[in-house]
Amino acid sequence: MDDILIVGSGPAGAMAAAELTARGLRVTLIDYGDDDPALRSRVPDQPFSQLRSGDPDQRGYLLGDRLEGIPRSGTRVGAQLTPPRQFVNRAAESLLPIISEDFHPMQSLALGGLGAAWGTACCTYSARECELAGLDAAALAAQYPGVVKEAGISGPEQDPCTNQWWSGVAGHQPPLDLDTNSAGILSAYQRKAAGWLRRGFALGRIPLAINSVPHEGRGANPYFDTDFYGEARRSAYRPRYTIERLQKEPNFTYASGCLALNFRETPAGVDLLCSREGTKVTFSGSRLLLCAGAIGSARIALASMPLPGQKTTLLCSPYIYYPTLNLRMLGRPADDRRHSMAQLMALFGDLDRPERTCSMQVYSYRSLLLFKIIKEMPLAPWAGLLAARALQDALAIFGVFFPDAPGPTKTLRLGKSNTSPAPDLHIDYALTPEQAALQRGLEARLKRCFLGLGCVPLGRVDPGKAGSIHYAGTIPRINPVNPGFYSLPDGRLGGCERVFVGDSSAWNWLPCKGPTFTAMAGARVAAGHLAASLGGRE
Amino acid sequence: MLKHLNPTDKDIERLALAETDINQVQRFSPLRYGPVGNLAVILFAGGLGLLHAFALLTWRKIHPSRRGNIDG
Repeated sequence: MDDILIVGSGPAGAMAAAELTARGLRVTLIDYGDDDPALRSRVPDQPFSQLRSGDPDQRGYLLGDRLEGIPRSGTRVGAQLTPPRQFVNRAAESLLPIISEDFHPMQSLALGGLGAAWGTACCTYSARECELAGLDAAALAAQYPGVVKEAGISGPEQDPCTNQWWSGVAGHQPPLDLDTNSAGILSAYQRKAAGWLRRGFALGRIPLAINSVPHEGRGANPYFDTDFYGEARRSAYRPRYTIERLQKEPNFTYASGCLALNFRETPAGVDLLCSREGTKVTFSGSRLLLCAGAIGSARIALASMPLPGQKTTLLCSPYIYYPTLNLRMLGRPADDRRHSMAQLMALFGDLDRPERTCSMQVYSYRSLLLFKIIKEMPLAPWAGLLAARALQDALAIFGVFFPDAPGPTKTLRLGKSNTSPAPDLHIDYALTPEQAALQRGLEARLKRCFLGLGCVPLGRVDPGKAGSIHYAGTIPRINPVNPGFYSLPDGRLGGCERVFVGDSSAWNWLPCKGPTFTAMAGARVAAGHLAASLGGRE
Repeated sequence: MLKHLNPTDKDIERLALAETDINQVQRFSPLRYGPVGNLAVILFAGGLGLLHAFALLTWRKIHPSRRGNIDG
């Protein structure tokens, strides 16, 4: 009965499990744990250019054995996953039903959760952002170094977003080398940095959870440009690595194959009901920590609480991306040596007011293959191919994220499912007119910034309402949709004594910056409160 | 409206299969003719390709049952 139960092996669940196990507590991590090691291991340990020109089996992992890597018309969120990563949302599609007209989130029942396909961008939040989100800035700041040590973060010594200094923090590493494309954009920015900053545009290197030097048994990134497919030297952090490490600890148990359904507090602790291979299984523990992701944790909590309406709010960063033509790279060769993840990060808007700021991640484009670009071109296929070959080395993709605030037009409601042991979730999501106007205004000014950096926008791609895969705010501190469904500052679920919320569900507001790194630090904060509730040191 | 001119799923599947065929990799390699050369290729492909795609779409609208690809 002393066990602490954690639901979910994603970034938050893995960090909380590491923290609680290190404190000597007995932890059972309950997870569905879908995985695809066979396909992952088929990606050769060699540069993308070499495997393209020399591996006759490349179709198997680039397109998948059933050609599942070719995006079809009308494909929902998740189409961007390469075949070796498609296990990430495979089981969730049938077992975690969503009913919505136009909001189709990516959910995961994979080992490592959505973290198995995380872009690895590590953003810290400013005091103002924490205040808006209802987070304890000081407590988070104390936990960021623990995440850095576990995940291994490479990047500038000074976090470009919040002026947090990483110098001397174990696990912090020098930044990865920029590719040719992004190095040109950064140098164009730096020549007139003061002017850009006056216009509210800040651009710099991005901290990434990718090793630039070996760390904790994982290798340095070999710059093979295969990071969207395989796990080159395990350089990019995946929560699975933490779970694998913990499985060697005597006080940690990994219970896989379990779909968590609901919980019930008992006088002695808490019972968690799960479905395992079609049968019901109950786990008992002294405390329960929900880390199933913002949507997953809300599904479990709503199914467990006797609340009228069974409804709550939902946050999701609006996301748009702009493919641009970096003129200085046109017709010039790009260096083969590069990694695939984001190269640069930018903030734009009223930089002192995060409610009126958007963030950007800058990618180059190569290892995702040309047919995906050609699909977006209003050209005959032969012409699309010719244009894509001429553009390829000069393409710079600016992915733009906007903040999100709760409101009555963004709701998630529990229903009954006929197809899964888990209940349906009905989602309605629409931006307020003010939010949409702010977004339009920022986008119009952004295009001028792209041009100023020598990047000509070629189009605007809207991947749909749930396309950012940044979700939060379903069990916030203050819930405007269902005031009886909330979490407390110490992470406990409102109305419960022994159930805690460890992921971004508990946030009141969602900044424009990627939430994963801060969610990992937040999970460590919640784990500390949970341990304190057992009489231990916080 | 231009979205209607995008290649069909069938076109994309054909391209994807060719792109991952080791014997056809060269057809997909980057063109590096310098800034002016590459810009000329893009303008040529864009202009003529747009006209071709528009003609193709019109053809398919007029003859909905004949899905022949005039690309050859």
